[in-house]
Amino acid sequence: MKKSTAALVLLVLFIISFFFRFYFFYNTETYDNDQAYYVIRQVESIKSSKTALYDDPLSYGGRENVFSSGFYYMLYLFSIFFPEDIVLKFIPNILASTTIVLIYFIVKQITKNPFVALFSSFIGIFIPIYLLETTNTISPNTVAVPMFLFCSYLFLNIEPKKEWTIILYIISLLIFSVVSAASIIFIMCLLLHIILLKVENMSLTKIKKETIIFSIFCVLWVQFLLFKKALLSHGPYVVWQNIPFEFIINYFSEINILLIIYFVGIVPFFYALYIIYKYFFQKKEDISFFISIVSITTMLLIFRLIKLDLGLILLGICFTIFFGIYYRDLEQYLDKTRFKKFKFWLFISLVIAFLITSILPSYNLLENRQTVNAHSISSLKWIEQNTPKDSVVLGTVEEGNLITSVAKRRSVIDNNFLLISDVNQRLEDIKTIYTSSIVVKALELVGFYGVDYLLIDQAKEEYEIDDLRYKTSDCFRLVHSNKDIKVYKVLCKVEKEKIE
Amino acid sequence: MNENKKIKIMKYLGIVFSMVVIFSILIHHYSIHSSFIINDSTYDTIRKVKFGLTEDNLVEKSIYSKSGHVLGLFTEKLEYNITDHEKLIFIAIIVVFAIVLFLIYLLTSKNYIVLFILPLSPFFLNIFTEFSDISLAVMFLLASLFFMKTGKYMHVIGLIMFSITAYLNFYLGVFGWIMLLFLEQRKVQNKMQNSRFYVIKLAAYIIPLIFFFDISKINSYFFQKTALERIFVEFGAYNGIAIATFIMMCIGLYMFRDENRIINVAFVAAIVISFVHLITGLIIINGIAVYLASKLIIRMIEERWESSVLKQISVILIFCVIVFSGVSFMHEVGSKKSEADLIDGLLWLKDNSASDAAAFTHHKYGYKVKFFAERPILLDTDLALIKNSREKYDDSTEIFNSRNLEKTSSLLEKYRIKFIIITDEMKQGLVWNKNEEGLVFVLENNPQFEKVYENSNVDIYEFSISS
Repeated sequence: MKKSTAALVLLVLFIISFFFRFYFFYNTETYDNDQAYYVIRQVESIKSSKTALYDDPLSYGGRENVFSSGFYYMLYLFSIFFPEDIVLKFIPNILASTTIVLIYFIVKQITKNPFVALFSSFIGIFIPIYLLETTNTISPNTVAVPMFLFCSYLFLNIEPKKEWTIILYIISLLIFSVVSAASIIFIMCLLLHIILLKVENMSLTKIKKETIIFSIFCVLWVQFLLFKKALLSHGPYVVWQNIPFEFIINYFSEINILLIIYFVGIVPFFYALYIIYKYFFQKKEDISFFISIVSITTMLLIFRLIKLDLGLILLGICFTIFFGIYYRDLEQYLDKTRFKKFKFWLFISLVIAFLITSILPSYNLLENRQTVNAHSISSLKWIEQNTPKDSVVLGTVEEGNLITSVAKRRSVIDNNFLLISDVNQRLEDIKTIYTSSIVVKALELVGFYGVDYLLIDQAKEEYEIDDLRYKTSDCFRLVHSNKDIKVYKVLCKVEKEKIE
Repeated sequence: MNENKKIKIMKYLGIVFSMVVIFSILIHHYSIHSSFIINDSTYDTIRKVKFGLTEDNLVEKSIYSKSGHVLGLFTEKLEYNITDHEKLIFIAIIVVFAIVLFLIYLLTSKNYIVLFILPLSPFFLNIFTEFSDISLAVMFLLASLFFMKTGKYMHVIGLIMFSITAYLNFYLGVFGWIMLLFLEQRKVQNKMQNSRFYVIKLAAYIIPLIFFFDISKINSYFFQKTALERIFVEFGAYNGIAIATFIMMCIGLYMFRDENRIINVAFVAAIVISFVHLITGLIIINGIAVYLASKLIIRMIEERWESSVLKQISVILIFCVIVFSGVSFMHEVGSKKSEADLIDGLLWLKDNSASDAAAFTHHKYGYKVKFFAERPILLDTDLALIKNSREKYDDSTEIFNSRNLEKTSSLLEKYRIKFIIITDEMKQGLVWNKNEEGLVFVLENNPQFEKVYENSNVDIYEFSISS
């Protein structure tokens, strides 16, 4: 296949990838989750004060924050040249779509077959979990995952004679470290890669050893700089981001095969297993590296040390790469047999299988995904327009970022748990406020957190309530109602009295 | 300039650098707090000698070591009250540190980088910016290793040094004995010494260990959910090791495994000791880590890399990581809060409460409560040696975090706690991050608790058991 043809097809695939996403994100008024609104707030903060929200006056009523800020600054840079709305919707999807370009280059390097590489790229467009988590979410994974792949590609191609690969690798790794803590996973993969090669009596080239030494200290230093406070506050529990126990099960879910198959795709999954089995003890450095990524990711998922979504995305991409290797091996095998003439039909059957097992499920997932309720947004906008600026609004964990971002009011809790020491107590108190039938108890806690308004929206589902049980009390007045969403104003202030 | 002279000059520079760092931290601390830092466990040592204690009468311990009395003896014999003699403390810290540096200078041949990394190592700063028996123990251990290495008649001096080490810190003594075992065995292998002499030496060195052996139970330190918080400085371990140094140690152990077998033996010995007494094990591991890290850096600088760009950036990064850990820790050490207010509060408690009235506070202050207030406490920092420490630790955490009066009261009654000591440090991150969290909320909103003492940094509450 000519290079120009391959480039053209790759471009077409990139456009297909982007427009497949475009179809889902462009028609949606709101974003899929509250984290997207947190990102919006970060970008707005950088716009107004040139710094990210390290000191957040609204979240938890005012708190210090630690995070990887690279993604927010990146979006801010784009927003200098383009309207913010366009940047927040388009740029993450463009970045996410670059994954298929990287898959192409990686598979081409391993298989030396542009057609197989293009086929893998096509598969890579429809990884269900990757589409679900990056289409309408403004997630840092839209940068982290391509950077992971890019650093992997550069690492495999690094040579002393090609100084540009070294410089590019250094820059990419630095960006990756600043954008996402997933850079630590990359380092772990490099270390396992060394061990796997050692087991096979292979050795890395000197330049690659030097690269690994550099990578370890680069990522370590950047993560220490960014998360020093969190490390000191939470120790090794920083891995679980101080998420309260009742939420940890959702963020760091238990993994099972069916889940992987569903979110990654059956076709890549089974063929990838075959490739791992075949090449695990063979002396192929490139493939061994991706086997180490799969191994590390799987271990981290089993021990619940990374979030399920990121783990499944990495697995999905690696399986897509392995699928390409499998297809190349299959073609080479068929070429030696009398079934050579059926190659085209094999290709068609794989495409059909993939259509049924990945493309349709991806479409289904995106079509039926939940987004933030438009009515919730309008209620929050009402709060912004009709309440004092220093008000505290009580909501659930999932509403916290919406309260601070859309309503621009102080929240009591949200899902950024790092550096919050009493998060479990807060959860318990919020539950009490929503579910208690004793108004005094609720008022006491409301007074403790300085709450001025109570938002009854997602709390209904979370705490299985229809409304506040003490709503008839003189201390609470309904000030806004929108479909099922209610906002109550707190009228009574409780003095700190001694508890008898 | 020849190579040896260059190394000598670099070593002198390293010593100067180390002294400057230690001086700076000490002067900085003194300028803010008008006092030098006394290690908490030293208070306990002085108390042991002052009252001739054979067991701890203020907290239930499963093991009560009799080692480490020398500081107490010193203060007892000369009738000094150590806490009143700042100059003495300063001189003691500097002298011990200078001797340690000198011994390191003598013990290391071409490795000058170790003298630059050492003062940036958190464990080193922790040990040698405080007046403590551990720093003395390290000094005597290095001295004994030096004399063991030097020549056969110097062994007598080495034995005396070693005995003092074992007296000060039993676990360091065990480590020293394992090192001796290895060093002497090599001499026998190389026919530099006959095996009878080897056995005599080993027997001679084991006598101090037997004499100071008083462990009736081995209590593993890994009793909490994770030991990582007690091992790594980045996770909050005060006596810990920096992660970067640890990684370089692992690389060094692998790379130099054939060159320097004694280090492998030392490392294994240190790991074993860590399971018995974590702090001592960490001290040894830190020493090994610093040595290997410096050796690794020298190798990296001297070796030719395929990419000069990668080499330069990697070496800079390594120094950045080491300096970052060290500087962060230096800042913590230099900014240690003044104890004067806490001591005033504890002295008030001693004069205004019954002798059996138990106090409750963060375990970090345990030694000081025992020394100044002379009142029973729930926990001190020697958690591994306290009976039922896991249960007590969990209950303490519950008391600190709960806003439920009933729960808090029942736990306080369970341990017959009469007084609760709250410091500003506890309110500013040690226990809580905001006002009126957990126990503080309960204390301020409940008539069962009465504030009986207050100064700018310390509040003391009296708890009345409900009828």
